Amino acid sequence: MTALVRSFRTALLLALLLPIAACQLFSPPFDPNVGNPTTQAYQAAMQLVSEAEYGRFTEAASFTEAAQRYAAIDAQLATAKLRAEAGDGGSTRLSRRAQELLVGQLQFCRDQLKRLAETHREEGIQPAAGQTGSVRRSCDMAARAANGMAPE
Amino acid sequence: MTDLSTFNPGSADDLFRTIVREGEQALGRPIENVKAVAGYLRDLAKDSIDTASALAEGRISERAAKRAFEGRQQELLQIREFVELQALQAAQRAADAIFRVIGWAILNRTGINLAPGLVTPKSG
Repeated sequence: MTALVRSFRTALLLALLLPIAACQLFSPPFDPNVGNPTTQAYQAAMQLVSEAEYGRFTEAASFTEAAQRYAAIDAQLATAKLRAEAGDGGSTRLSRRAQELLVGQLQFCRDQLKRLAETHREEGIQPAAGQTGSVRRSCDMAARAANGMAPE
Repeated sequence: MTDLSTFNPGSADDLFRTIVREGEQALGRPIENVKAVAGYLRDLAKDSIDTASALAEGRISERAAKRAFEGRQQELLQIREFVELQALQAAQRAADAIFRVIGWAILNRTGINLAPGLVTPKSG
């Protein structure tokens, strides 16, 4: 009898707690398929804008050589975004909102990179003209967002 | 609202202070509360001064300056969403921490692991 009561109690606990423990209430869990490419894209973008601020790309002609680096960074961000969109957003409205916001952060970084590439193509990038900071900050936010749930 | 028609900041600090003041009025709460945001805004203010100087010196075209300006408008949108996302992620981390405790308590009492994602006993 006692065993029956105990197993009933356990079953009740299971039924009550399992859905809560299993579900992501506020945010989807960390996904390395999103975090890793975003981190790599972030590092590559930092390297690129750093070179720009050191005067490597002052001529528009330098874009031809740099184009494939822009493309490579964008490809990684596109991959991360795809994975973030396809991942399980969780069962709550807030968790799905977090998923949507993360996707948005990745796209913001892509847009800033694209904007810089346009200027680069048209007239090169002049150092200390406040042209690269948007990429730096935007992709920093994207990288922090993509790794926000990473285990310590 | 400050009269911005004659606004001509002499330094990034000037600009930053005005951005924060205007932003706080619009938001209805202090921006400095969110540390990362204050850092981004300070950096953004410095960039804006740099772009204005570069344009004045003719080092960059008007088109490029306009594009840089549009980029910064996008950034402000992104910062707002970033803050919202950070709050959700922090809430989830807190929830994980709480369920880790509950999960361990249940595992130790019943031998059943309800939250294998959070409760990871050493095997063997």
